[in-house]
Amino acid sequence: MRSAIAAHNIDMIYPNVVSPVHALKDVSLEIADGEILLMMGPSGSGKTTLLFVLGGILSPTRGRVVVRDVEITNLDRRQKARFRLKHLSFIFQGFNLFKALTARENVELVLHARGMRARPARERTQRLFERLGMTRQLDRLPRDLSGGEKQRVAIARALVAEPDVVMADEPTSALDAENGLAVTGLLRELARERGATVLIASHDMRIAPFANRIVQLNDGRL
Amino acid sequence: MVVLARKNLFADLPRFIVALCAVIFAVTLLTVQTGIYNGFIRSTSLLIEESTADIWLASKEMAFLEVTLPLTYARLAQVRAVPGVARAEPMILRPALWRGPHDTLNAGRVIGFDPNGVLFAPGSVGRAELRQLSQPYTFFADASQLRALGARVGEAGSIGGYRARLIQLTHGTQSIVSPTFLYTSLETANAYAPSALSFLTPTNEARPAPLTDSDSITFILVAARDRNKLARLKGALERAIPGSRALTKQEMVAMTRSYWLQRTSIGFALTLTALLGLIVGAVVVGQILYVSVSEHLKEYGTLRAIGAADSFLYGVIMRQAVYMAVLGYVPSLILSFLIAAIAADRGVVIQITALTAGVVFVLTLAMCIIAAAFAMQRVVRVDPAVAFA
Repeated sequence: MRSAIAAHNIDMIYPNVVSPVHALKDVSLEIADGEILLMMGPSGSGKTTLLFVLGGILSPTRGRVVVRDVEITNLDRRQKARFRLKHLSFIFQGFNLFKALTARENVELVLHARGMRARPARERTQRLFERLGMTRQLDRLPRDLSGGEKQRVAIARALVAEPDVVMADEPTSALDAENGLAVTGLLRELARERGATVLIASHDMRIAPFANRIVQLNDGRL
Repeated sequence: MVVLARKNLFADLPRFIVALCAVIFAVTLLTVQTGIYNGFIRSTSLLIEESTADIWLASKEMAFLEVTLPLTYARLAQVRAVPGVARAEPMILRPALWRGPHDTLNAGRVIGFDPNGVLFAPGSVGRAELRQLSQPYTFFADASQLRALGARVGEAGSIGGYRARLIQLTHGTQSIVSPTFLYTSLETANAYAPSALSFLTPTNEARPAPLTDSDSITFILVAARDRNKLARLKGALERAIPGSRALTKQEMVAMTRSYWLQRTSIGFALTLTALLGLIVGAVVVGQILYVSVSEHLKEYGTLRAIGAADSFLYGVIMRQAVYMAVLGYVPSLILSFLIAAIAADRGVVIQITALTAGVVFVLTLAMCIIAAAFAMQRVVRVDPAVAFA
C-alpha cells in the first residue's frame, strides 16, 4: 500500500535556558494511505510534538518527513502553509472554534481560506451538516453547542475540504466517555468515506478499537 | 474572511465603540481643521470674490487687499478712457471706528462702492436693496457681526462722528481676518474716511458731498471688453495710470491669500492639529486592533495551522480597519457639517467641499490601515503551535 506519511530518523530538541529538551529521539514511522493510526503515550511522551513535525508545523532538529511524496522538511514557512492547506487538516483538543462565528461559518472558513467562493462553500457545508445530522446546529454559535456538538463541528471543519491526512490531537479529552466514542466513530466513518489517512495523538485507551494500528511513544521514542 | 473580520470586530461591542469614537474624533478634527483652513483661505479674499471685475487697479505699493496707498478719484476718468475698458467703478476701503448705539466701540472697515454699479455687490443682496444705500449715512453689515456692532437693523451709531445707520444685513460676506465690513455708498464712505479714527469733531451734515477729482479712492474695478486680452489691458492701464498696478481678479485673490498664509502660519497650525488628531486616532485604532488580535490569538493560530495564507490573515485585519474607517467616517462627516453650521452662525466659515470630504476619506482609510499594520505583524507572527496549546 502507498505510504501517506513517512518519517525518517526524527530528532526534535527544544532549546531551553536550563538544558535542551530532547522531545523526539530517532523516530521513524510510516503511515499507509487510508490508515487510521493511534499514537499513544503518557503526557510529555512527545505525541503532540510528533504531530507538529508530521504536520509541518514544527521543523525537526534532524530527520526527514515525507507526506504524499513531498519532503515537507525541505519546504519554507509559506510552502509548508500552502501544503497544509491543500493536503492536511487538524482537529484540536479544545475544538478551537471561532467564538464569533456560527457552526456553518466555522466550517465555511476553511473553504474560504482555500479560495472557494461563498456559494459553493455554503452548499458543501450544508451537505456535510446534513450527513452529520446537524442541520439544526448550523446557525448556532459555539457557546450554544454541547461539547459533543462542538467536536462534531470541528470534525466537519477538518473534513469539509476533503484533505488527504487528518491529524487529531487528543480529540476526546474534553468530552465525556459516550461523546468521546461517538465522535471518534464519526471521524473514522467520515475519513473512510473520503479515503483520508487519520493520525490521532491520544492517551485515551477507549478509542483504541477505532484504529487500524497503534504506536506507543515513551520519552520521545517509538 | 469578511464574516470573520466583521464578527470578530463586533464581538466586543464596547471596545469597538471606543475605537469608533477615536476614529470619529480624529476624522472630525481633520475635517473641521481642513474646513477652517479652506474657510480661512476663502475668507481672506471674500471681498475680491464678490466682485465681477476682471481687473483691480490699485497703487503700485499695494501689499495686499487691505494694505495699499490711495488713488485719486480723477484716475477713474482716465481709466474709463483706456481702450479695452468696458466699465470702471471706484471702490473705497478704509479703516473705521464704530461707536454703537450703546456706546460700544468696534473696529470696522468701510467699503464704499457704487450701489448703482454692476462690478461689486456684497453677497446676494439684490439691486433694489443696494439702492437703499443711496440714503446718506447708512450701511449694510454681515449678520454675523451684529454682536460686535451692538446694534440691530434700523439702529444707528456713528463712524468718526458721523451718524451711521444699519439698514440691511448681508450673509456670508465677512472675512474672519478683517474688522467688521461696513458696506456703504461711495459718498458716505468718503465722508467717513477723513475723520474715520476721530471722534473729536462730530459733524452733522445732512448729506455727504459727491466725490471730487482730488478725493481718495482705494481701487478702480475694471470690466474688460475682451476677457481674452486681459494681459494687454493690464499693461495699458499701468501705462495710462502712472504709479498704479493692475491685477486680474485671480492674481488679486492669490496675492491676498498668500499674504495671510505667510503672515499668520495658520496653515501650519491647522495642519499640526489635524496631524495630532490623526496620530491619536491611529494609536487608538491600532491599539484596539492589536488587542483584538491578541485576544483571538488561538483562533488566528488555528488559521495558521490549517495553512491559511498570510494574505488571508492580512485580509481579515485589513477589512476590520476598513470597517472602522467607513463606520467612523460617515458620522464624522455629519458631525463636521453640524459644527460648520454652528460656526457659520458665529461668522466662522468652515468650508467642507467635496474635495475635502474625499481627501479626508482617503486619509481616514490610510490612518486605519497604517494603524492595522501592527496588528497584521502580530497575526503573521503567530505560531501555529498555539492552536494546540
